[in-house]
Amino acid sequence: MTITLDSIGENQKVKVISVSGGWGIRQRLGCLGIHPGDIITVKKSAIMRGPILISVHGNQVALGRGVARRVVVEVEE
Amino acid sequence: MKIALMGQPNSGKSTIFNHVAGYKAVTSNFPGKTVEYTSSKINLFGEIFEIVDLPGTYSLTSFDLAELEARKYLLRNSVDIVINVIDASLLSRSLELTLQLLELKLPMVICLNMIDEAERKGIKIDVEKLSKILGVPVMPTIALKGNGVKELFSMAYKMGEKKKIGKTLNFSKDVEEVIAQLSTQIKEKQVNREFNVPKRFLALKYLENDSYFMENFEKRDKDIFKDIIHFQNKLSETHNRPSDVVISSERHSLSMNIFEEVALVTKPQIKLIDRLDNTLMHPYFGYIFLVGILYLFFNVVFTVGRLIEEPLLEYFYKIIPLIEIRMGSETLSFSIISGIIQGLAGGIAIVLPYLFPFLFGLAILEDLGYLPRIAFLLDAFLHKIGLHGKSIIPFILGYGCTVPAIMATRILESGRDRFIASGLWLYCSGYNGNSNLGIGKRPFYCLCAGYYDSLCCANDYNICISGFLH
Repeated sequence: MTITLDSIGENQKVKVISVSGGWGIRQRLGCLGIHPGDIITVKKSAIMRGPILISVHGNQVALGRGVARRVVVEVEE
Repeated sequence: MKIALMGQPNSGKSTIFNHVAGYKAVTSNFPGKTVEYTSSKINLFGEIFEIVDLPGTYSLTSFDLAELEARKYLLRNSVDIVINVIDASLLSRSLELTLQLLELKLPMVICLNMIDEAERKGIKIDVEKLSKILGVPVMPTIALKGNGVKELFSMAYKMGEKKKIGKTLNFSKDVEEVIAQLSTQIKEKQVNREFNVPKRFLALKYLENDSYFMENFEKRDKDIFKDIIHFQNKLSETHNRPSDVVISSERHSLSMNIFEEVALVTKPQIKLIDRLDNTLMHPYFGYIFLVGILYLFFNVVFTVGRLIEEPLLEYFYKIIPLIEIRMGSETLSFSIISGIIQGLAGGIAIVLPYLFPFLFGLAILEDLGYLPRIAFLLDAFLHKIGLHGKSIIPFILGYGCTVPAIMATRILESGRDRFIASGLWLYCSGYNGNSNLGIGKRPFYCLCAGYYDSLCCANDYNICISGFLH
């Protein structure tokens, strides 16, 4: 079963499996430090399907839900 | 000598630029703020330098317009030396751009900016080791305080004279093999000549499926196009992912390796705002605090503004009767002069007392890091009207003054967003002009009102009221 980043609760740690999207979104997320294999912690999740705030490589990045839905992840223990 | 400043958004390029170019531009906390590039000629060490501040770019791929423009500029213009500005607290991410700049084989100096911020985050960087690995000088700076900026430029000058080019760092063996094979093809067919780039750089861009280079290419030579597709497929088959992901993952792991080699990571100091985050960004309390903070902010601005406004206005009104006595109230020149004074009073005594505390307060909010949090909180709501969360910045600025608000719409990436934001702002501000919150349009109206009143010789007309009525 695949989970996407938008469905992850606050303070949970996940590992990126893949980015299901076109060339543009893969490049952009790569630039922000999100590649397959990276560990992400979800910090905050805004109400009304607002953006989510994640921490990746010690840096905080806010992602919109639409983009977060493209990031396939698996929960780290 | 021509120096180009290149770096990721918010790495402090503009701060360095302003430090040497000698004037302050608007600095904001969001990516892509310098969409157009600015350049300036300065005199250093007895030589004229042309410094170009290129738009912030995350990478050298043709992703958005700003990145494309920055890369085009680097390739087209004969830049003597590139200063790659890096936010030291984001070293591992920033190195990915550095690796791409090294692929371009241009003379380069690395500016390791915000080292104080990195230390606060618990990252200690071995500058010499980094310089040894990359093969180019690395200069630590704190651009905000001006520390190390002079040394940076004197090093850039030296390296620009020497034309010092950095090392090419290699990816994994199997990827390098594919790159080498494609490079040979490129060399044989001499395609890199028309783009004026090194063959390895071009090979990488083809493997990354970079639209700019691909488009330019398809029209010209079908033969090498087949080769490119062949090598792209080869990479994606062996790695089981698209070829562009293979290259970006390679670059990523290479920069992570460099980062681990040169940086010592200890426990970060926690900033006050990070501690408050649980409350300030709470799904419900966060909004209550947002309203409270903005209320307080505007309240302080208007309290301080009123304190300054009243004595200033009084002063201006004392001048007019003095002139009246001297010139007589019926003359045309008196009408004109008193109109000018009233107009000036509108600008100086009514607008500035509010504008200064407003901009000062906004700067404090920005330095505390609250502005991006507002953008985060309001993103969902602004998306309902088709805007990004960060467009709240021009909206807040719009309460102060039109000009910075319209300028701040530059932080929005698409022309469409800018259009909506400026359009909405104009509407909101016109509306709020009557409610004593939007003082943005008042300078213009006051000037008109003052002028109009004086021509009608209705000097007792209260300029302030007419400002509101308009």
